[in-house]
Amino acid sequence: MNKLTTNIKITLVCFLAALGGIGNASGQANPGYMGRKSLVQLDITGLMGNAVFAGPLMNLNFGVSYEFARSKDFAWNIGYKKITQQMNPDMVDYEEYRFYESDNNGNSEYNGVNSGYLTYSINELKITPKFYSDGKGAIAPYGSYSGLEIAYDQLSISDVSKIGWRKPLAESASLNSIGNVTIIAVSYVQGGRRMMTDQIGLDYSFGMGYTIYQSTPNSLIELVDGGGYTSDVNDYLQTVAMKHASSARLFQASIGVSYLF
Amino acid sequence: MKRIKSNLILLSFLFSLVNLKAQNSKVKDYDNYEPQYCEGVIPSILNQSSSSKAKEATKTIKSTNAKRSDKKTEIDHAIESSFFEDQLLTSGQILYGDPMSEFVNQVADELLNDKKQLRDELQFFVMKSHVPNAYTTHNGIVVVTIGLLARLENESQLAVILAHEIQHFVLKHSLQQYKEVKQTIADSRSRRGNSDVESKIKHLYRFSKDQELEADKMGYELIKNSKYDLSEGIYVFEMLKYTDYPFLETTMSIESFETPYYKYPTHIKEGIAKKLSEAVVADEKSDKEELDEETSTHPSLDKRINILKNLVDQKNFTGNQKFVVGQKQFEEIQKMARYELLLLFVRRGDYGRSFYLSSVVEILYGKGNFIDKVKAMSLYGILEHKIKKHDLADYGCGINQNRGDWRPITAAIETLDAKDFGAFASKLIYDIYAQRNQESFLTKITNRSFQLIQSKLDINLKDFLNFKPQDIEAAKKNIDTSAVMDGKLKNPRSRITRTSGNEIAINTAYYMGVFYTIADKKALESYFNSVEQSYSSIGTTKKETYSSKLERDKKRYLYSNKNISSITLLEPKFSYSLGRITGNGDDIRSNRNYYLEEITKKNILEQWKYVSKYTNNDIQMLNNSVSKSLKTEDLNNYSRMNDWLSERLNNDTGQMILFYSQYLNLDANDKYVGWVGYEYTEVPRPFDPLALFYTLYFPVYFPFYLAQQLQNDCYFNQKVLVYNTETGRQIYNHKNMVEHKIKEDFLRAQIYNTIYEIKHVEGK
Repeated sequence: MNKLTTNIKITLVCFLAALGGIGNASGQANPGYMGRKSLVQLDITGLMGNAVFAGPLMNLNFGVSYEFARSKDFAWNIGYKKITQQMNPDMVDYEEYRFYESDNNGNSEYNGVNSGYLTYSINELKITPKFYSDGKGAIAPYGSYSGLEIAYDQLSISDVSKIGWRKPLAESASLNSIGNVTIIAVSYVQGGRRMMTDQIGLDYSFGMGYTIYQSTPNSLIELVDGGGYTSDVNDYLQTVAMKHASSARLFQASIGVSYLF
Repeated sequence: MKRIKSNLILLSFLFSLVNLKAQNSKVKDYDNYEPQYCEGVIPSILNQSSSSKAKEATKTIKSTNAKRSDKKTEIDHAIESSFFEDQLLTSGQILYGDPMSEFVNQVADELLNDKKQLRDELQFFVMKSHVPNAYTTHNGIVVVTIGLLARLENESQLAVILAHEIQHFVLKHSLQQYKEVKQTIADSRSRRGNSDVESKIKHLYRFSKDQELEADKMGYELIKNSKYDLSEGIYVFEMLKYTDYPFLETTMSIESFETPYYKYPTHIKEGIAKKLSEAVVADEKSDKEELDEETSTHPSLDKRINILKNLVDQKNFTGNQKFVVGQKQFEEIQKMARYELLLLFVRRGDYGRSFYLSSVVEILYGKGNFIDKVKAMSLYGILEHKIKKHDLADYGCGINQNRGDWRPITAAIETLDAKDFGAFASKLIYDIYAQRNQESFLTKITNRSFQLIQSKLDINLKDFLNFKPQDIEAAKKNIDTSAVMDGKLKNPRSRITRTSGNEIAINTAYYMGVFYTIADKKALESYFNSVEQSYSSIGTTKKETYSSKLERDKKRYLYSNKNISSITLLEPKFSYSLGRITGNGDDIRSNRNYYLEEITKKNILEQWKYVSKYTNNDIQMLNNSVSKSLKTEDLNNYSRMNDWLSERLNNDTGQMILFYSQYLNLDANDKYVGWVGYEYTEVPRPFDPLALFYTLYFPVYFPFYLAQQLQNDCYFNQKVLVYNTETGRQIYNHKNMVEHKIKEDFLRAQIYNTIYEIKHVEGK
């Protein structure tokens, strides 16, 4: 619990720093890029962290966001992102988190049975204060920036019917529907926007994210540190999905197109 | 054949008649003299791009059978000189088609009468510079300065100088010198050469001197075979000895402005005398240094004079004419050069010199509106700088730089304190104003001067009217007739010693007596009344305080710019250099890449045009880079604005009336002018061993590491200055340093931002 509060404190400090930035920057006027200060952006985000912990190299997700520059070096970006991740049996951590296809009776077998998939999806709302770097010639919303992305996620596990749980192996593990989990995550993002025409820009960014809060009974941190099992299947699967979601966020990259107006 | 020849002569005669007629139809109005700019069709060398010239030269050198290393140096030299020449010709300082450069061309024609091929390879121009000098480039461009033309006494002297410069071209001295310098630099960089740098440099000086003597010798041969008088060369060298002196001298000191009722106190005169005697000691010291043969690039003038005297004594030359093209034409261009010289000194802010020279020109050519304006402007300029406590040595009053008869008056101007000088200057300015009170420029500066002395020096103008000398009779007895301006001119070559003036008793606030003898007291009183009412516009000496730098900048530059709808900009200056890191750390050595420079400059120019259309701001770009479409008119517009800006930059004051404002002829909307400069350097990123070490632990990072390491570090500087030509006030001054590659969108963003900032940023 201590760690959780520390994380929240870090987030608060980051937010305050962002607000401080706004206070300083608002005094200056901003021309934008050729007079345009707002934009709509469509992007594809690749969450690459799970590649480090095995799994697919990159998982692509689509997002849409709206950005408006408040001053020459500061802009807010508000967006929505839909993340759909599938955990497959090739994951390294299979000693503990391997899933098996259940047979028609809902039974799953460790040996000789095809692996199953766990699919989870996240609806993410995010807000990012972006600091455009004057020293690199950036004028918000054009040029290179660094930002602090704060995401509010609702995670849900979909299509759980075919999933079995190995412990105990012989038991049926047909699951009931699992409720949503809330996640709050913070990412440090660095990126840039180059203009292809006066209105259409090409975006790119790299980021590192960290989950600072999740609403399951077993906190992520405790699970990772303790490494123990819980008795409740729902809880367990949620935790597994969240560990995956959290590690996936560790390294992220995105490319996108934006329309300035 | 004979018939053809005679026809040709007739034709050329007719042509010259037409030329003469054309010149006569445009008689220069010296009373309202205006700066001379280029005339006629633009020379064809300015319609061919610098890069194509450089490529052509490179191709020719490659096809020769020289050594490979020699070829490389020659190619480097050809590229540099092609680009450098074009920069010189489009600098706004070069004149062609005007009477002065036409005359220089005629003398060159005469000199190279029987060397037609050589004549075709050479082009002659006049340069707007006060320094008496002449230059030759590798590609046959000979430039003679206005400072030199103003000093020459006859056509033969000009011919001697041209003959010397032509030989530099014939003997390819520029290339030889370039090779020698390159070799010296290479030797000094190598380890074994390091200890011997000094002797290498001395060798370089010797090399340069040998070239000068060689050019002299060959030049004399050219003169010997012409109609010109070789012995005039001796006077050229003698003239060059006196370049610290004015071209003609007249006695002028503080006593020249005294009246029976207005005498300067002893302590001021003692101060001036002390400064003058100190300057004489400094002169002797600097003369000794100059005489050091080993550290000068030119052989000593005495040595050159002796060589020439020996040659003249042999009397094996035929020509003895001082004038061949014509004495009348020479005198005309000499007069023009002297008027131009006045303007050049004003543009440089050398007001001490321009004040003195205006009196010389007045004695020489008679009174005139223009000369009066220069005189008033000079006094007003010094007043502005004196009030702001600037070092007057930067404004033509430097005693050590001014030798000869302008020294006493410039020393006096420097010695007088602000109130003394305020009274002195305003009296002289008022005298001129009273004579020509319809002149709008004179009215402007007279008003401004009186407002200045009133608000900044706390002088009550009415005290001028009420002042009465305490001892009028005693003052009358002390009239010193020898010290007043005698109105005689003499050549600095025939210098005589001066006598100092008499001493006068001190009178407190004596400077109030300056207007005592003025005849029309009523007119003066009514003028003072009008000035007093309007003096609040000049502001007071109260210092404004700001809470932050941002607030200060907003108040200073940005608050008043909202209404700007149009800006006239000089074509951006641009330098593109590729660097490399040498030595142990941050020592960067970079070379300009002229080809990239030309392309990128063009790109920048296009982006400026694009953005200005986009923003509905009328940005007029005054072009001056060589291209097919460049015209004389473009160059003249550029020069005109460049002249104004030079004057403004030479007078580093917040607000000042400038002399060249008269010649701008801008609409009310076009009163904003700007200057943009760019500098771009690319340096390979230094090797980062730590980052490589990380990749060993974290291989995923390796591609990013490679991408980072293989990049160049790019440094981009943009400097923008914008002025209001009406008030002379600087309204925008911004330096922008960023690390970025030059891309289209980046340029657009930067330029849009600049225009936006100039126009829109509002103060609170």
